[in-house]
Amino acid sequence: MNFNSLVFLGFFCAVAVLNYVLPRFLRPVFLLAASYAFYLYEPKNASLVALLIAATVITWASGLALARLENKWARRGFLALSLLTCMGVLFFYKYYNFFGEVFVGGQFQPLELVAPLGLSYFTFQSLGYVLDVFMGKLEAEKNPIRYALFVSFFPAIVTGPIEQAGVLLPQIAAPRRFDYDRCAGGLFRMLWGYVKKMVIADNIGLFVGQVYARPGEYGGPYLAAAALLFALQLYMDFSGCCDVAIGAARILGFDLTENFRSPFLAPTFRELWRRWHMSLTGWFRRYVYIPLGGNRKGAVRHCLNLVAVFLLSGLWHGAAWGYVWWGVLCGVLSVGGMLLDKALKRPKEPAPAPIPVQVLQAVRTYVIFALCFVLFAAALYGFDPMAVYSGMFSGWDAGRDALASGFAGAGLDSTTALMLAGSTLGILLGEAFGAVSEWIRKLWFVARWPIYYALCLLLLFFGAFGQSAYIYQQY
Amino acid sequence: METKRSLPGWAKSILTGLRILSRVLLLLPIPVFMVWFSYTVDRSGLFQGDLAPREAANLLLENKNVTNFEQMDERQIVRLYVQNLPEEEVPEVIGLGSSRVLQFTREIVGTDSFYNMGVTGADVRDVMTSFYLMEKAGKLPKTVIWSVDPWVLHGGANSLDKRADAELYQEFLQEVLLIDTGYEEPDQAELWKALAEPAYFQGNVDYWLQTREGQVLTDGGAVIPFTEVTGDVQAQTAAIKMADGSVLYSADYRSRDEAAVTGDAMIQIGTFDSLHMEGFTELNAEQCRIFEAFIAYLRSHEVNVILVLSPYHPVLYQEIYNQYLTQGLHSGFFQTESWIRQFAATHDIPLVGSYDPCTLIDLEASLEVWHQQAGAAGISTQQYLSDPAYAEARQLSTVYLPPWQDVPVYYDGIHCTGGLLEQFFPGADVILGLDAESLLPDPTEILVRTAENNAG
Repeated sequence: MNFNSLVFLGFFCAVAVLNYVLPRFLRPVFLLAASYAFYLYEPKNASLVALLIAATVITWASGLALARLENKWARRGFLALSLLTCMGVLFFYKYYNFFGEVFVGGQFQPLELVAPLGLSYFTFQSLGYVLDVFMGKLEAEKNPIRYALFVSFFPAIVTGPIEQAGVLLPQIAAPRRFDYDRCAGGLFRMLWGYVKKMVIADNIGLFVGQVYARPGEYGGPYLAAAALLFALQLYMDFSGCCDVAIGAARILGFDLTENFRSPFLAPTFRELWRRWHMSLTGWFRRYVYIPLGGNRKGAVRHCLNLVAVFLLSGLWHGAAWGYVWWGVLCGVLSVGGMLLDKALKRPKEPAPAPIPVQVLQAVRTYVIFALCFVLFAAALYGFDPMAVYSGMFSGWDAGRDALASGFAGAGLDSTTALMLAGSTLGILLGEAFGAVSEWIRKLWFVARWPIYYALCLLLLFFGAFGQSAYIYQQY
Repeated sequence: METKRSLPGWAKSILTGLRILSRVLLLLPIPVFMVWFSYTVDRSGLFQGDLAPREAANLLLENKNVTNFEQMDERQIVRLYVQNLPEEEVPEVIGLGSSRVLQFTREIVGTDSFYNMGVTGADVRDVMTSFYLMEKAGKLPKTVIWSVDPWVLHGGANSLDKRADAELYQEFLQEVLLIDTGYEEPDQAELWKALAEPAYFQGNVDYWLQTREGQVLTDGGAVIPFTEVTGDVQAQTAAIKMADGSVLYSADYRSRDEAAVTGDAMIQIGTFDSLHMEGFTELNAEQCRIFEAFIAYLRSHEVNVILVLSPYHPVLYQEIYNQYLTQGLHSGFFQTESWIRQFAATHDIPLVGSYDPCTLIDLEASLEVWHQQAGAAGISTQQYLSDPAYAEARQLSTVYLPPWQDVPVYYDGIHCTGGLLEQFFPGADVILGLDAESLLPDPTEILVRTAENNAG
């Protein structure tokens, strides 16, 4: 069930209403049933629901065992069981063919595997829970219904955020009363997300998809534009989906973790990564980077740890060399930035620069970030990234009219470009003020409603309906 | 805030409910506008019909003559005409039938409140569904002129036209005439869902932007070929659909000489059966029953019915009659007129015309003679027309129109001109008036070259 479908909206409305009609003690059961209904809506997930159930049962039981057992080896055994279950399923569905081809070569017979919806999210979420219990940071959840809802909560199962058990489980245990302002804020957040996804990401996707489907046929201006726009598309797509998830959860009475914090306003590459896909980077920081020693084991280990986290992050996205090189490149650039900061003795919290300087810094960071994402796009679209990088330097001698008609032919005419520029600017500015579902409620009614109308009309007139699923849905 | 906190729970719930309702109402204009816009523009013709026929129907509704009749989807136009027809403008008289009814004009019918709903190649389904559309829309006429084509009693697959709306006909038979056809009401939900589809709305916006300059385009962007006729209507180089639904052929076609028309008629002798009459050897009992049920249905709605038998070209009729006598061909066709005449006589339905051009009655001239005969016998004309004692006298005094007239009265072998129609059709009100006064002759008394009267 795609978030950007009428079926989902109908489903969600029914769930939201029933959720508040039911007595509070029944809500977790109801939301669990709704989450499984959401999951089973796609026939391909129906045959794979056993994986979700298995991951839930094993990690829940392991959590209970870890809480009761004191024997170190027994505890490690249960941790290993959970790790093997979650990572085994993840490995099998996402990496079996990739590593088979890497290690066996041409004789390897790949399997036709279709990963179930949200595999990377629910495995990381349940694994995070077990690790937290193992490390003593969290009490084990005794109620299997609440735990199952934590693993399969439908707003977050498509593209996250990858929620921490310590954040979500207490909210499940104590459902909130209906709160008009919370719901209105949540609805606005959903609308905000739909505009990002359907108005901006999907319209950019028409152009980017066309160029990246046959990059050899396009000259430098198109490849450069595609590279710059792909990063924006990805942000609008992914963060739009998260907005819908966070908004929907908010309506149901839950606060999910924010996944993005205005990343394109970041002055540096490292800062951008602190604001991008925060639930995943947080997960890696908690369970990989810090256990590896973080920045406490010397400069070399620190650099290696950083690169390792980015490499794993790349692999998390999928089994393709493009993701691997993308992870390595981002890791290397982060390390480079860190070393430069140290060499120049820059303070960790520098004083804010003048606005024009901030803009230039943000643009510079965005360009570097977007160029890195050519590798990511290469994995997604299956093209040779080096050909795209080299192709960016040719074909700049075409006339202005030829370029304009070429862009229009590729799905980016002047009207669309203008609409995209205006909408993007509006969205980025809106997010610069903080959580949109918060500030919108603080506005006066007369100022608020024109914004509602503007977003609705933007969606109605320019939204790409029935165009595509979310990009991060496949990870 | 303090006030709200002090309210009891139920009052808070009501206040919250009202608050939500007011917000929903504030947002409502957006979906309402979307639905209205999609329904009105409807570029795919889901609700308003395809764009080209819609344009033609709208021009006809504006009482304008429309160009390019040959390119029209006539059935769609009938459907859209009925759909968009304002209730206060429902015509009092309508014409039903194939292209053989399309020469009936407002002048011939004798009223400005007439619309010819005939469609080229109409089979029995077209006739009945055209009327059914009117009934479904609550736009019933007072009188129906049905130019009955012989193939309506055929019943075989060859009598059907693939352009007819088979589904609507099945619905009509099952729901109205109560004849079981296994019809199941189609699911309209998918269709109506389009109104809630923003993608359809966006398509309509694009289309509206393309056409706001005044040019009327199809969904594919082609120019719609139907426009109002400009210049001299009689001098058009292609057939046009007149505002009253009738068809005016091109000036060239209408001015062909007798030899060209007769040549066409002779060619059509060889293709006579191919016009929905292949394998028509016997009247189909089921079709006769449906015919009867349809007339009863019209009458149950207090709709007057006038049956018209549009004449064939004399050369064509003579030749197929010869084929019937010598080779037994066209036997179904030669049973049809007798059955219809018998039916009209039994059910007291006014019937004018004849497939046989030799037996077309000049009704007004005949009436004059019958008045004289009745006067001479010292009885009323009604008595004269109904008394079997005067049957032979009536037959002898009936005034038949000459089949070979000085002026061309046919366009080809199967289509006569309005000029000929005018000679045996004195107007709908006149015919109904004569029928009311029992001054129409018994349809079975007219000597027609049919299976029963093969002596000629």
